[in-house]
Amino acid sequence: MSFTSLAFWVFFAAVFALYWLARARRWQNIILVLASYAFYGWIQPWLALMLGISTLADFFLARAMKAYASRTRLLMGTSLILNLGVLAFFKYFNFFSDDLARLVNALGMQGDIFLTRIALPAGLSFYTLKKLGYMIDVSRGTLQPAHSLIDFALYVSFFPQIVAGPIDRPQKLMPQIEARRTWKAEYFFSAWQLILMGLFKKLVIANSIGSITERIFHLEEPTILLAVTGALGFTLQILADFSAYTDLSRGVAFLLGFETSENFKSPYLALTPTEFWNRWHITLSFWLRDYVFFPMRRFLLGRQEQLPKWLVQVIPPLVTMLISGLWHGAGWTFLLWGGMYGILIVVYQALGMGGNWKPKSRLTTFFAWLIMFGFIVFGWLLFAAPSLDWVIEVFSRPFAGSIEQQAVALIGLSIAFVYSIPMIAKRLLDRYVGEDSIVRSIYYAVATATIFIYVNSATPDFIYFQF
Amino acid sequence: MKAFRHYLVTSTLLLGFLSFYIPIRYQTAYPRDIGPQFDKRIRNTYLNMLNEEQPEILLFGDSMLAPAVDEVLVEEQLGRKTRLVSLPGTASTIWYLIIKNNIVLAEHKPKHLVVFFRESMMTVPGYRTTGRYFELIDEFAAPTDELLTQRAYINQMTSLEKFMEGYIPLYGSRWRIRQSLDYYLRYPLGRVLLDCNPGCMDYAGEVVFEESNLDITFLSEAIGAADDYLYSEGALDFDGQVGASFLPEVIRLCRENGIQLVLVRMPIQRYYEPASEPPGLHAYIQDLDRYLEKENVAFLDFDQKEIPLEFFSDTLHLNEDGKAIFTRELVEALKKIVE
Repeated sequence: MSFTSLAFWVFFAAVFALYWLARARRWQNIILVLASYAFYGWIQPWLALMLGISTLADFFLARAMKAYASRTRLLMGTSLILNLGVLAFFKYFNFFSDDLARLVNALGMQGDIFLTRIALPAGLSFYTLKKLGYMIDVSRGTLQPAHSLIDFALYVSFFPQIVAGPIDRPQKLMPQIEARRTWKAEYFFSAWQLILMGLFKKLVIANSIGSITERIFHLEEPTILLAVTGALGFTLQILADFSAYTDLSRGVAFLLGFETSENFKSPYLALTPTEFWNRWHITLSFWLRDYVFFPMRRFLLGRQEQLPKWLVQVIPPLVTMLISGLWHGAGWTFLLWGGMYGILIVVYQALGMGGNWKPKSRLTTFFAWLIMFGFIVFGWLLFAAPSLDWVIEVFSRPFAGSIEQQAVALIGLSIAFVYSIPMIAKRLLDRYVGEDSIVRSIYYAVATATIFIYVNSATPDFIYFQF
Repeated sequence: MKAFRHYLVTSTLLLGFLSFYIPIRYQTAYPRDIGPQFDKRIRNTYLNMLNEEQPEILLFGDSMLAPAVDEVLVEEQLGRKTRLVSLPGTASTIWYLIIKNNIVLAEHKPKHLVVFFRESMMTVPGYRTTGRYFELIDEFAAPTDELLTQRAYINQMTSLEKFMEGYIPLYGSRWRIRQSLDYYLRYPLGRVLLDCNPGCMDYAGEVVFEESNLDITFLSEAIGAADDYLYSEGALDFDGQVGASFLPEVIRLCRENGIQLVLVRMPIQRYYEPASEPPGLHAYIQDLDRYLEKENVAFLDFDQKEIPLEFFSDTLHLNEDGKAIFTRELVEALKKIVE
């Protein structure tokens, strides 16, 4: 069920009414758990079953950690194997399935049917990280395990977040789940702008630009200009698409009385790779920072006398970003995309441009932005490319190509430019115009009118569902 | 609170203004008639072709047809003048329109009309009717095609959509507004920088994105995703669909005009393993077979197992070797019908 479908809003209206009528916290949470499982298992009920089993396992493992402190490492190890095992199976099985099928067939067995491609369950990557964060914090003793299975199940399955985040920490969401919630008008006033902008960005911007970028990335032999056009288009598409999903998710959560985390803070204005990852998919970045980067850095710092100094600086960002790449998908392009950011972070740090670096002049700021934006666009080229060979071969082709190829590139650039205007305008509004300004209401009114024009029966899925 | 009040007032004013302006701009009534507005002009390409070339057999279908059937071989083997019309991106709705507004109006009507389809295509009137398909339908439709409007469009809408189509001009005229917006998005730069007019820009899109230039996996997946509609529970409910489809009309038009209708179910690769077929597909085909037998319409079912996988270039289209095999089998089957 997509947030932009009529079915979702009918479903949500029913859940909303029941939820606020229930009043008692316990019943509200039960309603939300049931709604979340119905939402998640809408198309494939076995997904909800899998979610339920893994939730039960982690709930009892966490409780056991509290009860048997001496066995914490064993219990944490079991949880890691379970969570990462399931994730790895679904995420990386297809990477090897063709070779496996060939091997099985070579051994004289019929392997094609058994080893048909297995689709990654939507949201698995997101709720696995949520559960792992919870388990790690409980094992470290920084978080008490949940007393109620319903509360924990709601934390894991909360339907506004289950398919594509934000990956909220238990420290943020659990206290809200455990607190009494009564309807307040401010929930609505916090939600409406997010929902409106989510629908606008998805239906108007992401879907429109997506129709051309998708085709460019599936051309067998694009020119360099077409590939650059595709990358620029995808740069806009993925931000509009993913931030639209986050806005809708946060808006819906607000309507249920929950405040969830922001995921984007104008990421394309970043001047350095570190800053980019502090602005892009923030909940994932912070998860990786807290559960991969910091522990690895602490581990290496503890052994710095035995290791070269540069290794302590290089390994944590590089490994963290490679893991980030692999989390997004099984493929060389994703690995390279992650690796590229890892290398960039190391290089920028070596040049004294890490962390809180701020340029001294406007000209330096402009060039720093331009260079970083170039890296971001190139990163998206790697990310969206069908294969590594495709990327390598692009640069051996003519720059502009035939008049037809130039014309298509021009259409793509023109579409990308025009559809970026509302995003830039929103950024300017947020920066320079007050919340109650009439200019802002005109912007929202025009966005509403535009949604009426762009809405139709066929809505492509959000890009981040596939991760 | 204040921000929302401002937004509510501004939106109401804007939508109110547009509700007056759009009906005047596009000369539509308020409330608007539900469904698309077709222009009066009808393209007569196939009417003219029939009158000029006078074929006895007309082979008719979507993009699957041309790579699957050798028109010359069929003509030679059957000894009857044969023409093949393979229209990419078409389905039963546009086929009905071409039969009604071109084929049966021709002075020379073919004796045999062979329609090539896949799966539930003949009974899903809402398939391939919106977006870019609408432009093609508009070329063969007239404002008087009420059955088309009702079955392909109005019957596919929910009550909410019908309300919005009628009472919210911004929504009701959205396709026309989008066409205007697209025009300004796509063409001005090409004219200025490449001296390329809209026709030239559209042609560029067709050339660059033609099927042979696209990754075959992507193409197959895109086709598969679009075809999911043909396998939905509703689409495979033959009894529920047939009365609201164009199939009875196609049969009536052919019968009243002395044309023998032959329906051919094409072989495809999508559900090559029998166990992987959607559960309702087999029952659907059986129901279709029974219905056509009752209506005295010839039905040739080329089940997918008859053509091996290596003779396909993607999930739907046959390759050159597949074409030779399929044409041979088709000719054998048609001989019994046309002779």
